[in-house]
Amino acid sequence: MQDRPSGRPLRASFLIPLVAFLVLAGFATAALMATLRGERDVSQLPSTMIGKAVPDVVLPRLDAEAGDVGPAQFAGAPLLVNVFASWCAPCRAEAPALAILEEDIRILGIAYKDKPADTRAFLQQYGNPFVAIGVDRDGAGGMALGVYGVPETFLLDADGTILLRHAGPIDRRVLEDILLPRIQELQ
Amino acid sequence: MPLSSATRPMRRWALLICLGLAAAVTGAATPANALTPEEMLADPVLEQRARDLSQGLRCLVCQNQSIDDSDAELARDLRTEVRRRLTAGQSDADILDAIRDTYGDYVLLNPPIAPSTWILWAAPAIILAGGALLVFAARRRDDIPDKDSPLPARETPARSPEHVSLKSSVAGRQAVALFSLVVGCSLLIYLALGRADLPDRPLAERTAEIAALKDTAQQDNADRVARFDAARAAVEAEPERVSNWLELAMAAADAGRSETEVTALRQAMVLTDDDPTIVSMLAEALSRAADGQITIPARALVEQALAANPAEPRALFLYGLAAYQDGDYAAAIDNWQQLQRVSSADAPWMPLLADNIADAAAAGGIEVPVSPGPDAADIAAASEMSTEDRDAMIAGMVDGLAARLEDNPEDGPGWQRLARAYDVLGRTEAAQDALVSAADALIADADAQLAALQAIVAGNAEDRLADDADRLLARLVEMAPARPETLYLRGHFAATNGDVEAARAFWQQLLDRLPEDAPIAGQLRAAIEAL
Repeated sequence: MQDRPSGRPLRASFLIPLVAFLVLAGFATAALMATLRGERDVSQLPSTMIGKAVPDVVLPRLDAEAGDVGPAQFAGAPLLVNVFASWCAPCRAEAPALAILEEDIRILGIAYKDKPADTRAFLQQYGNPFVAIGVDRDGAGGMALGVYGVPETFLLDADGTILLRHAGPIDRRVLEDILLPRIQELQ
Repeated sequence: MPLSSATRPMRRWALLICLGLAAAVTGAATPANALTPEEMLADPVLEQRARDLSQGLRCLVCQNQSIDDSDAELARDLRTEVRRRLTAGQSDADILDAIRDTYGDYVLLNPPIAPSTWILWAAPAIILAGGALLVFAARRRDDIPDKDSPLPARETPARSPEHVSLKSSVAGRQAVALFSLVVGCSLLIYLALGRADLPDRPLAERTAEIAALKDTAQQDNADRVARFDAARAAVEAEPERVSNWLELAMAAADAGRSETEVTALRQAMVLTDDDPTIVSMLAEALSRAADGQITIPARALVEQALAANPAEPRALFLYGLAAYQDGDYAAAIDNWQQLQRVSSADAPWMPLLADNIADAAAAGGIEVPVSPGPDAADIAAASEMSTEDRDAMIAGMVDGLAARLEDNPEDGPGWQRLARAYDVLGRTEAAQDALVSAADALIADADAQLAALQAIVAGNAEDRLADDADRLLARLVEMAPARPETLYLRGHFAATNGDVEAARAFWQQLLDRLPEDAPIAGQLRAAIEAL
């Protein structure tokens, strides 16, 4: 203590900023580690839709004569809703993932801001994993679902409640760690 | 106050910095918005409300801009939605609630006051109060020994009462000054920079250096605009001349106005009765507007151009690129080599082309005798980056599943999934192998044996997978000897092995069991005849 210029003992209040800093640094480190381990994805925005009933979206079917289509028609069993477009490159990348998922769950496609002819050509080229496709020409259906970019994927339970939402392409990690386990849980 | 005057110049200096900073930033801030005239409402009152609402809503694509500032398409949709609801007579609160319902609190640039955000909103007040408390405590501690205890404390034996009092009052003043300085600066900076409703500040206005760059850019831009305007005037004067439309397309491309470019090329296409060169230029313009992706409409145009002229260079290049983007590297190389053959040896695209071919050969594991031009390598690498990423992602996903199944080969449904994925990727042989593995995992499942055998037959892989086919067929015969598919397949494999008699017997047996008018009966009869 003698070598302190003030000659006073070190007070506990000096520790307050230090402790506050360590607490903050702890939170920051935990968040950073979670991001590095891939548990936390900073590109995913929090969604208010989870736990809510899926909005009543009704769109004309791609095969025009068959009338309208919407998630409500598939109530009674789990459903995957995939918002895609032929102009979207990541949508091509997730085609194999959807082909895998098609085995386990029905998939409703929503063709977001896409020309029906282009959508058809896209499906011809990359496969059609959908039980039905709704044509969302002006993006109103996407807006009702809170979509902010394609592709986006929603998992609904038999009652039409949104259990899960994934923005961006379904890659291997999302497929194996998130979607397939949740779908198996449902069945 | 001899001592406190010493701190004054420092204080004034700090305050000046704060004020200068605030003035600089508020002065530089100019309103910028992405609103286009056709979005605006005719009623100025409603339009003002729309602007006010837009400034408080976050664009979820470019997340630190409001939808009023952002050029993103989603932002435009949201602006339109806000205006649609306003015209429908909804109140500001209704509109914010509706948008919040779908996009969440995050869409509001100012977080709402709710139990979950109490800490957030109270934090400044708590920190301020905490700071004030610390300052107050520091003052009291300094005062206590002087006023309350007549005896000097052990630690301060040398202080005279006047000295201590003077020193403590100076320290207190300094603390208060520092405290108000921090609070004042924070407030000024927040008001100038941090408020959610501040308009976006374009990057180019932030520094003088960038402003100078902007001047030269503006000059270039003025030239481009002049060229564009001249081209448009020419088109208006003589709309029947194709060269005018082509010049307009090029001027528009140069000015980054892809919509005009596409319109002009379409017009030129009509005037020339679908000249293949112009058709492929349009395909290229569409692809450029889609960040280099050969979109479905562009693909159709390329096919149209090639149908009219199979040696059209631009179309050949784009067709190869489309195949490359689909991961069909062999077709990409085919098309690009075709282009090499029809081009003269000194054509400007030859080095890039050779490089692209080498690239596709590497990606597809195909051997092609080419000498890559090293100078163009970087260009090609940069332009194909996103495609490579995408291919790597697909390959990684499927390979991961394959690797997992190698470790756990009993997972029959897993193999079937893998087969479907291979099928989508066009890797037919790998799909057949996966189906055979599925059949081996699901040894008691007749359908699994059947699916694999059918894939072998459909892919003409009877020779490559002869042993597997024998094994699977034996199982199928044991489990479902009377199924029509079984009979058909036994006949088919007997025929492949050259045992015509057995093939005829199985197929005749199948034919006898089919109703007379079955659609495949005729085909089967023809097949028996052909034996």
